[in-house]
Amino acid sequence: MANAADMADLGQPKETLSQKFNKLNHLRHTIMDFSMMFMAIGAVVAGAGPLVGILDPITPFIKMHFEGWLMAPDVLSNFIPDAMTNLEAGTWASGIDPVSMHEMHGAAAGAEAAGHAGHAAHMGLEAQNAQFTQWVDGMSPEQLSEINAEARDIYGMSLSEYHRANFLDHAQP
Amino acid sequence: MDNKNLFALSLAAAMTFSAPEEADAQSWKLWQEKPPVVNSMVIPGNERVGGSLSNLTHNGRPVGDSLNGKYLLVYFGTPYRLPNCSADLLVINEGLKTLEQRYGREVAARVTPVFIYPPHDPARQPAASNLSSYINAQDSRFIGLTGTHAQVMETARNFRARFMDGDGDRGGTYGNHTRFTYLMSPDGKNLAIFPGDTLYVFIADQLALNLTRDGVIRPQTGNAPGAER
Repeated sequence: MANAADMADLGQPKETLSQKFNKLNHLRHTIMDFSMMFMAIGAVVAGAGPLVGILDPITPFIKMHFEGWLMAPDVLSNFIPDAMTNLEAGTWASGIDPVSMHEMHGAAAGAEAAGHAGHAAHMGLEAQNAQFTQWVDGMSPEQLSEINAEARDIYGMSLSEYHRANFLDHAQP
Repeated sequence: MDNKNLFALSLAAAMTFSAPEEADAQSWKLWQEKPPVVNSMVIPGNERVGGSLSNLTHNGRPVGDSLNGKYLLVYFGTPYRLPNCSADLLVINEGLKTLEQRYGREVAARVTPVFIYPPHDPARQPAASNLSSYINAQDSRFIGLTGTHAQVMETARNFRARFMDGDGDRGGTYGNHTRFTYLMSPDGKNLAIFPGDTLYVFIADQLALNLTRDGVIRPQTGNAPGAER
């Protein structure tokens, strides 16, 4: 006599090899994603110590997969069904403006920029530093000393803060 | 573990790790485009900031003592290259509009926004613009002041403002200048300084606080700070 479990299986198609492979593939993707996240954390910790920027590499990870979650509840109603649909289709993405994998690589490689998450912000800092260096190099030591004192005493800023607050991107016509 | 459980587990992990200060996606995007760099939206006034404006001219006529007795919002800039100037003037404009909405036109009329700019020099500014229409586009209350190159630079130095590539004899286009706005009292004291990235509400609030302290806004009759609404 067949038991209840056997009865439930009657008439159900067996899982094909392709479906099994898809499941395995989903698992592989997920393991890769988590591996990347923890590699990024490791890079930041190695570069800046455990208490600095620990959340920075996680944020791009969240943005990459769960961009819609940050804008909940407006987007959430679309986000979960889309993600589930994509998941069923064999892909692992929300379908809502996913950040490219290259951005994630940027976060992992940018351990020296702990405190600034993401490749774009890192590149922005490099441009700012280049402008600041050019600005400082264009001044005489006396002029630099005078501005430094003024920034500190009048405006309560460091020289770099003073520069960025005033001159960043301002020379463009 | 099936797909749905896997997804739910991943979502829960992401929620656990999310940083609350980055919950606003729009702010996050703006932060990426332009990281906040100023550590304060309002800088306390400094006794070393300020100076006479009487040697400058407005529409070709000397200013003299016509600005005495007024609260001033002083901004040094150039009408020849506008990207941040125009944004800063709009912030000042919005601050004044907010003050007027809160306390009325009479109160707002006690404050004069002043835009001080270097004289037009074809060698420095290849393309002159129509300053009058530029200022009026910001707000009709703005008045534009200028003078000789030396007069404007001296005034800027008195206010601790700078035209970086207009200083001295280095030439340049005046394009690089500081973006501070200086709130001056009727007797010429510096009350507050607003950095270029300040918000209009900070300007409106500082004006309201100072005008209330000086009795221009009366708590018992108007919507002064702290009064019952």
